[in-house]
Amino acid sequence: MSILGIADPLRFIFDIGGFFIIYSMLSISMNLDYGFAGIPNLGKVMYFAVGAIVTGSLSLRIISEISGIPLGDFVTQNISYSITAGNWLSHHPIEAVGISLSLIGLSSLISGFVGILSSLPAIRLKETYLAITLLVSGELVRVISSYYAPLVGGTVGAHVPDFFSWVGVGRIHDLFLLAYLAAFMVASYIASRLLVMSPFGRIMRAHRDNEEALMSLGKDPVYVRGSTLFVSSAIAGAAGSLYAIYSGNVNAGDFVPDKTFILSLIIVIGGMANVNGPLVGSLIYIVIDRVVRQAKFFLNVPFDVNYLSIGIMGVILLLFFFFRPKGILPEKPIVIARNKKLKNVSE
Amino acid sequence: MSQEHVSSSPPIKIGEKILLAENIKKSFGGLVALDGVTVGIRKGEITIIIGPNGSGKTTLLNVVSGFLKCDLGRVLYKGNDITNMPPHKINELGLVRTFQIPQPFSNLTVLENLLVASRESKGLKVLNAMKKSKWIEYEERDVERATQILNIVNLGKVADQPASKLSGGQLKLLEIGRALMNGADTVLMDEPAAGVAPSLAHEIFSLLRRLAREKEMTFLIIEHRLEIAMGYVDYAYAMAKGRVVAQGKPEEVVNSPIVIETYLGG
Ligand SMILES: Nc1ncnc2c1ncn2[C@@H]1O[C@H](COP(=O)(O)OP(=O)(O)O)[C@@H](O)[C@H]1O
Ligand SMILES: [Mg+2]
Repeated sequence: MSILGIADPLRFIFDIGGFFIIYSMLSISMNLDYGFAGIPNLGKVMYFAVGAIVTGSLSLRIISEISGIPLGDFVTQNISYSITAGNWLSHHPIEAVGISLSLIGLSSLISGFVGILSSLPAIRLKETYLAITLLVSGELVRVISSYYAPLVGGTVGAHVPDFFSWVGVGRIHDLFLLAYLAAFMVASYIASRLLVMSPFGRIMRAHRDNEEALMSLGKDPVYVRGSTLFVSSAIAGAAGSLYAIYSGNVNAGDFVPDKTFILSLIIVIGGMANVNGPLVGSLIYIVIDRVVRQAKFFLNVPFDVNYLSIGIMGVILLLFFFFRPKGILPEKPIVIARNKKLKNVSE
Repeated sequence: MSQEHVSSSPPIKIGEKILLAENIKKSFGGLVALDGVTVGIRKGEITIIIGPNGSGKTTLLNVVSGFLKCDLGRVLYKGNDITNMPPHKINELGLVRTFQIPQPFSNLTVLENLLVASRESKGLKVLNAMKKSKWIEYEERDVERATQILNIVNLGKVADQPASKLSGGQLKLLEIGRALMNGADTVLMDEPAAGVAPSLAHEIFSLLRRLAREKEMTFLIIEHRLEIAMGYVDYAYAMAKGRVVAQGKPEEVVNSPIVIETYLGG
């Protein structure tokens, strides 16, 4: 059976699922910064990269430490060692889960701290300059890690072993991996939901709407930006780590600013400052992107057909600007239930 | 954070100077907006600043509340030197200001606008925020207090509307509501009655009067609508061209020849 040249429809759905999870997490992160707190984070791909780089850089090294099987030179040996490591993990499920959890946690934490760090220039910089600074920082991370090979293998990249080799191979393996990724997406979604529905979430939206008024009421905008960036970057870092585990390979050169722009498209189309917006937006983008990648076998266009999905997203974005500027799921005013209980308050 | 603010100096008693701006100078390029202004405010009183447009009233308020850095002079508040301190730090000491041009959080509801002003919720720290049990109690109490304040400033009916839907007059009331919700003991208001119906303006001024008397709150008010405000204030300053030209009892200031002249002269 083959639809659109898709030899294995399940494999195709698995593919969509994995990318949907990762893009959802990234756009949840983007939505926290830009949709809710009004921070124009044009460097979003940087936190994703940091998470992937931490995982790509450490996974084999940690496994070598724990298993006692020597790694040798990381840059030249990591491809063959990733297979060795995968074999070892297939007999050590507890270690496999433990190591992958630690890697995801560490990637997330380091990325979160990079988030706090990158909120510091915002003390002095106005919105546009901050956006540019973040964009440039992202490029710095990409360029430096592309050229400094010991970090994640430089331009060749670094391999990450299969942490689910102990499950076996084939569909059951893929299903396990997907469920594992999905758990982190659900956790990120719940965290973002709890955050934006809290008094702090209200302060985030107030920061977006009017920073001066917020200061006049005793709230420190630097704290708001730092805390928001900590949470959002931790989510993006976890997504980066999951991406490394899912794809089995980290190539620092992949983390180009285009990704950040795609995320902006996703949250605008899905609905800014709506917790469900990123999920809807990501689904639309991923489906278009994957279908276009499949369809390229049938299309004959005079350019790289992979850009077609960005083009289609661009057209959709324009349509939204004209017909539904607030996206599919617009921001809704939060109506707070009044306390029914009567309390004695003297005022 | 508690409503009583910790200060290293001894507490200020009723009638003593709680706020003092001394010899403030501020220029915008070549334009001298404040040319050595000295203004003192006593605790528990309502002080008014009058003066024609462009005389520097808003600029003075911006300097005192930390929104503009002055070129010269200093500001003392409750014995602390707050000159050029950031606005949120000044607010922590107990001083809040409103804006002449309303500055709402447009996409937040009217009730939420007030809740943002509260300084006491535990849910304001990001690590507590995700645990509802940590802040729900504070939230319930805040919602109750905000609801009462909204009724006072006549915004109870629009509590769940986004602020972007309010009229100009309602936005002025929202500014007042937020300032009261903030729980600060010193309130600086920039033309609070502009665009507000006279009867409501009277109600608001009598509320301020009552808060000054009963809660020992202190108000500094910039106001053009003298016919409404004058009956409620204890002390008045008149400014013109970046200077204080008269001060004293409200009726004396309003009737002083120099004030009449500056108002008529533009
Ligand atoms: N941010 C600013 N930049 C340049 N000029 C300003 C600024 N703020 C106020 N001014 C000028 O300073 C003078 C005093 O303005 P303002 O304090 O707003 O007066 P008032 O509130 O008494 O009407 C005016 O001439 C005004 O144009
Ligand atoms: Mg003014």
